Amino acid sequence: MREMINMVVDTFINFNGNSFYPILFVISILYIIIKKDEKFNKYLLILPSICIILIFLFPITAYVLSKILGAKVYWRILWLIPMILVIAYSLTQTFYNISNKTKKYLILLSFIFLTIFSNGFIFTSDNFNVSENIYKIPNAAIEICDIINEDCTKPKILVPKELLPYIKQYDGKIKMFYGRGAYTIDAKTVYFTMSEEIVDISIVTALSRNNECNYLVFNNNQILSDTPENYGYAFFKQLKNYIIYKLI
Amino acid sequence: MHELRFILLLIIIFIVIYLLGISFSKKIGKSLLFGFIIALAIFQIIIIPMIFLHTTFTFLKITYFSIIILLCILSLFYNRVKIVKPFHSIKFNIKDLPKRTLLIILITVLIVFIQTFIVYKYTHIDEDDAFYVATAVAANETDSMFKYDVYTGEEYSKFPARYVLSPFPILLATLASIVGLHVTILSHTFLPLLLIPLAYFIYVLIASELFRCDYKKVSIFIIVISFLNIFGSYSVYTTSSFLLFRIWQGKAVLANIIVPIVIYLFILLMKYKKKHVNWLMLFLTAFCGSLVSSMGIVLFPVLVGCMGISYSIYSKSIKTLLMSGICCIPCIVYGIIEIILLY
Repeated sequence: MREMINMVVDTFINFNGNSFYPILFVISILYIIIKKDEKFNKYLLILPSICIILIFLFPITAYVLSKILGAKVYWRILWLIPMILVIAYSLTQTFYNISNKTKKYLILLSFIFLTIFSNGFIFTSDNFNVSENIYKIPNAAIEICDIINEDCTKPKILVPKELLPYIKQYDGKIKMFYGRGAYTIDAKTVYFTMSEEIVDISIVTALSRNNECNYLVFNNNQILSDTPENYGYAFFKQLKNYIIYKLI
Repeated sequence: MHELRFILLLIIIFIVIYLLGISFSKKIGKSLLFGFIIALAIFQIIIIPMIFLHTTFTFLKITYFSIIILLCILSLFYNRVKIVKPFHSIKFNIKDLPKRTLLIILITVLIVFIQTFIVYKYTHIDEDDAFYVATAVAANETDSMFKYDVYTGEEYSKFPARYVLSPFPILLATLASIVGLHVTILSHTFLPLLLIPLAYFIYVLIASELFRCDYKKVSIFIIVISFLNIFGSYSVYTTSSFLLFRIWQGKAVLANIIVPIVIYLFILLMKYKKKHVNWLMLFLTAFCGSLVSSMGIVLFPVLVGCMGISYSIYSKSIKTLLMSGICCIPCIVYGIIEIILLY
């Protein structure tokens, strides 16, 4: 029981961060509850929100739903609470129902203040970058796929970690030693070896060859223990940031 | 060139969903929404058996397009008198609006446009695309559905149970194939141009009901929603984060489009006497919820259950609770199938 309560509290804190949105939401709910002519919206917006919050908080329903959804994504229940809808509705109604201009703009300023100081501005350079191309994946991923496909009809490739999510977003037919998930023992071994400060080429090439991997791609910044050319892979192509070796 | 293809796709989507929806509503907005629900529901109904029967992606496309085209032709025939009528009232309504209201509406449109444009122009990296977008790409390029592991390209030894019942990436692949767009380009660059305005459009429909078509209030409402979304990334888990970071992913569609649709349908159910169409749409939305995300299979019944309880108390009728339960049947069926697949 205590574990469930801790999970629920942690989930709520992680979901809401340091924002004031829950406060705005509670104020908005109180507004609708207090207003006499909001009977319809009490049933449409408030009662379901309370039901969902109770389901989220109650340890037994939390236990059941976290088992079904997965404890790591239990926070998705909170998507069902129409938080921004309720806040927007209450603010709009307040703005129009209050005749006193000073009060009106004071409420508006408070809302703007609480929203901005929730530290959630989306359009920052941390969140968005200039697109390298129309696919919005690294140019290197596209270049590597195109070069290898020109050379081979059924390639199987090994790429550094930073390129793993992108190869298959460009080319659905190309095979990879491993992707975002490394399932086999060989794949896991190579994945960790490729992540080391100095990449043990003997391990990488041996396991790649065993798994019929005919192209190896390394980042120019990776330090290799030896050259793959000593292990049956020939230099194939040098790109701006990557180097490709091909199985002889 | 890509832009032209996308514009063509938009025109096709608009015409199709309007034709599908006009049989169920006299208004443009509702027709578009109902058509959207119907189009997605039909896709989900036909694709699940096909995935289990290991049909090709081409066979799915031919079947789906044939059904949609047939329904559109039938709609054109049966609704030939009323198809254009809703559009006549738009010009009339715009002329009647005071200048101040028009200005607020323009500001609203501009704010939504700015959000959409930024997401279109710039890149947000999300590693979940390694599965979702890659699944769509694989469907197009291997002419199969959930046959190959999208991380390695090897054949799956067993079905990825968590994902096969929510084949939203296959829908994206289908859309991309209509105009010959690479599905990654469609997802990352162009889909935000469709889905972000769609999310706000549903809020416009909700607000139109809540504010009784007071355009000024609806506009202010949308401006506030926009403001809350633009400052809503205080954690990566919020609906705002999913809307403006990765709307092409099914779970973002669930949070920002399907959930508001459910709320909107309950507004219609609670406000108006003619209910059969709205109950039907809610039932079909269960398929849409399941299509876009495996979360939808669980979250849709939770949401509909809570709203159904509330509606039942409001209307003092147990029948509404039973009807809400019936609308969850598709999710229950998919849930049982998922359990069987997992165990």
